[in-house]
Amino acid sequence: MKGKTIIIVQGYLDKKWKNSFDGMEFSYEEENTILIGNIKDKAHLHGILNQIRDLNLKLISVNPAE
Amino acid sequence: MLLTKLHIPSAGNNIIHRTELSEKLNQGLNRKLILVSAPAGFGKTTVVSDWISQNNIPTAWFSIDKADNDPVEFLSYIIAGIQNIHSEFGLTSLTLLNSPSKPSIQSIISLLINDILQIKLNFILVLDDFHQITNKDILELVTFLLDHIPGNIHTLIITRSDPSLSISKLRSQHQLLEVRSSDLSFSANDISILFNKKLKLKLSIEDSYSLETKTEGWIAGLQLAALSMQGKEDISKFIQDLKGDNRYIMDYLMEEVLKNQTDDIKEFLLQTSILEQMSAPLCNAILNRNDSQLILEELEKNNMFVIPLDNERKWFRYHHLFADLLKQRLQLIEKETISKLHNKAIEWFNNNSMSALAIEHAIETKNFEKSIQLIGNMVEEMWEKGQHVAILNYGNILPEELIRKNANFCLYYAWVLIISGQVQKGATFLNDAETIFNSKCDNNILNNSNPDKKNLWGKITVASAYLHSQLNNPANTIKYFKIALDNLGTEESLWLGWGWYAFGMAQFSLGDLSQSINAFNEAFKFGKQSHNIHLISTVAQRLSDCEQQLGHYRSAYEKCSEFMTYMNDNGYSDIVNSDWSYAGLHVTIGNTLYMFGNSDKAYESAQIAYKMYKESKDIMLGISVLLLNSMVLSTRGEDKESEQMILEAEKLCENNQLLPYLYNILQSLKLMFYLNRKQEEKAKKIVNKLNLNPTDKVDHLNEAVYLAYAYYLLIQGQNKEAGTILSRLHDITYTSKRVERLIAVKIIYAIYYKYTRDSDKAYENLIEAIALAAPENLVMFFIHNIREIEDLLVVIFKKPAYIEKIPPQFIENIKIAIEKHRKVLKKNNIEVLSIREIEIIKYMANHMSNQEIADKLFISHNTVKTHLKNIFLKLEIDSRSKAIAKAKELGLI
Repeated sequence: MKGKTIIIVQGYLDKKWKNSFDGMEFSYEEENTILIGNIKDKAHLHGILNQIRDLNLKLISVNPAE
Repeated sequence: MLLTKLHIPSAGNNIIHRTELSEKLNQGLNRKLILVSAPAGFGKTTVVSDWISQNNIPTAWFSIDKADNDPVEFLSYIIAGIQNIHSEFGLTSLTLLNSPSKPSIQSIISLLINDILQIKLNFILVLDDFHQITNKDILELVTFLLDHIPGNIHTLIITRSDPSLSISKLRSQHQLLEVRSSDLSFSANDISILFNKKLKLKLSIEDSYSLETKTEGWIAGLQLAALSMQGKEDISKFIQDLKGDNRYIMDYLMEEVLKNQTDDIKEFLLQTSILEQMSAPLCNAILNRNDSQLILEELEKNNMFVIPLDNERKWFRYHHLFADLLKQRLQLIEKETISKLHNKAIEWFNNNSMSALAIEHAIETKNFEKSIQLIGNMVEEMWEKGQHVAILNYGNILPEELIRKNANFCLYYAWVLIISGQVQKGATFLNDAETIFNSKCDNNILNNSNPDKKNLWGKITVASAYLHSQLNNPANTIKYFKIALDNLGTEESLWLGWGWYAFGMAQFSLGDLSQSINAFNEAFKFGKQSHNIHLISTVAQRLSDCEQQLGHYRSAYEKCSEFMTYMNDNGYSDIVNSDWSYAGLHVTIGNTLYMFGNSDKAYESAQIAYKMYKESKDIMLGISVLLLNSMVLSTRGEDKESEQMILEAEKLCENNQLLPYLYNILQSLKLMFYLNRKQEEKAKKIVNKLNLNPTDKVDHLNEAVYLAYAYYLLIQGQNKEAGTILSRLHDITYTSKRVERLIAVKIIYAIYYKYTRDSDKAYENLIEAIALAAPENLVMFFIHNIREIEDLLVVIFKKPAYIEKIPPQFIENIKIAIEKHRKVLKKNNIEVLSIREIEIIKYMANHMSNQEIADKLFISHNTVKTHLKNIFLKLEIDSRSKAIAKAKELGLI
């Protein structure tokens, strides 16, 4: 996956975590946190997914934006 | 090596023994793999270490981190871990691993598996934090290990995500036990026990259920919750607030926990969070304080996610998740102090001989100048230990323009690149190393006052020589080698060895085999001094190859034996008999022993080589292995198996483009095989398929086939055509001094003169062949066509004048080989009938009388009778009809 990507995790993840999610913008919708950003390559995406795993956050979806 | 990584983590004071999990894990002792897979903070490590200590299971524990993504590093830790149980484990494998180049990792694992079998003890190998492994080679080697794992070792993998091993295969074979987050998470009951009995926090049943829902039994969350409840009056309210908050639970709890700490402790926690592992002296150094030991022990006692890494409580680390939470806060509050903290850590690690950790901090803060400086100082040691992947990783991380300024790193990085196949890229860095060196110092004034500099220049030029030998550029190879020789100190045996090797390769491609052999002999000598198995093996193979090409069978054999003895003496016999890169040596040994007439020993080598070839995909190797096996099997009288080998080799040829030279050797062997067995129809098919004609042009590439063809023509009665081919073959082999082929030509020539009834010339040719074969003891040439030449040999051996110039020992060896051959035939119930005898049976089968046969062959009636007597004797029968039946049965007519 490459390009603009939307990742949704459950719960409210404070914006101060931005540093740990390289290049992703934070927004919120209902009970979820939405991370949007430009994914450079596979390694970048997996780095972010690993971060979600390591913090034991609940991943809801990963989608390309458009 | 950080021994703390091999420490079995203690389960802590407030541990809840969970019998149902223990029982589940016990079942895993009947399986190959126990997989504990769950996110951070589910108590995986705690459960496993508690289970191990409760049951006193012998354990090799390895806590993996990111830096272990080098197969050599990874295996070294595993070996060291198992050595804690059994101190003599894997010593040879370790030496092998820690050499700058080595046989395939797979063969090292095979060696390890053999070693594991020697330990008469059941034990567990725990690989903690396996998700840190991303290197494909390591994943492959673990898969291989699991496939071949002996019954006494059980692997337990702890990971945050399922590893890319063949998990589903193991599952379907019932060789997998899984412990997952649903098994690990705390139930309301567990929560109640933890809070009430262990932590004395007085939690109601409802509160336990609430906490279960909110945390989903996530242990790290529960522990953090317990910490934040300390000193709180109304626990129920706290839990209610927690439940209503949809913030990331760890954020919420962390705030509460930090609120409970003094400013001093808070600062300590945040600032030390940059450390992957910490000791009191290290913390003191980066925080400018002197009470760190007290603080660390206090934190551990208060369950503040501090884990001791050894029994002496010298080294600790934070729970990974806790560290992440702290680090994230540190970044928000004290951004500018962070790099100061890292720099202090770099300095401390560097001063305390823990350069690898210093480098990690330098890279993390993107302080590449410092990184390359530190790496440059230790790259030689890494290279010597065989940590190639780690060097390549550094090369990938560091900016190229910085690498290009560090001659030391350039040199080793280039070497690793070149041998891993990235020759072009390696060449540019090597070029840089050279440029840097030359700009810093004029090599004309290099003198003995600075041996280090001279040695570095020597090493750079050896690498360049090696590079150019790979690029098949002999002129440059020789140029660099000469410089290297002038600069390297005598103690640099490894470098001298590779230098001489490159020089030998250059001479080889220039066609000077004897110079090449001299160089390889030097390389071999230095290889032994350096104890580098890869260098020794590479050289030994080249050396025996060259010797054989020159027809020096004896010295080729001696070199191989010397090498094999060296390997055995140093404990590597398993490797040379299993790793296919050594198959070539076994072929050389087998071929030589075969030619010496030692078919039993040759058979052993041929068998070993065959097994190895099956594991490889090398076609050239395959053909030579199959040909050797065919020849050896035929000598043993196992005709069917021998034919099978030829056919297998032919199949290999069909599917692949093959050197015409090798293809012709194969066809000639096949043709001779059928001719010697009187299977003329099959021989004819080959001749037709290859479209052989007496007038074809003969050259050194196809001569083997035409030699067999000449023999075919002789049998067909086309003596004249055979003679034409033979005379041409004789000319080209004689002029180019290809002794072996010349011997074979002369033998067929002898048969030709026998057929054309010129016995003097027949003897002459055969005697010349014997004289040529004697120096290298090439006995087998005379067994190949023994059926045709035995009568000639008998005469020759009886006349002293014929053999006065030939060493008696060689004559003796031929006689022994003939005797051996006879025994094999007898065993197979095929006594050799002479051509004449077979001819007579053929006429008998055509219902001709003795007199008719005598007339036909221009011999006397009595001679026919004598022949018949011999035939009856040889076939162990007593009548003409039985003779015909038996001859048919044996395929003689």
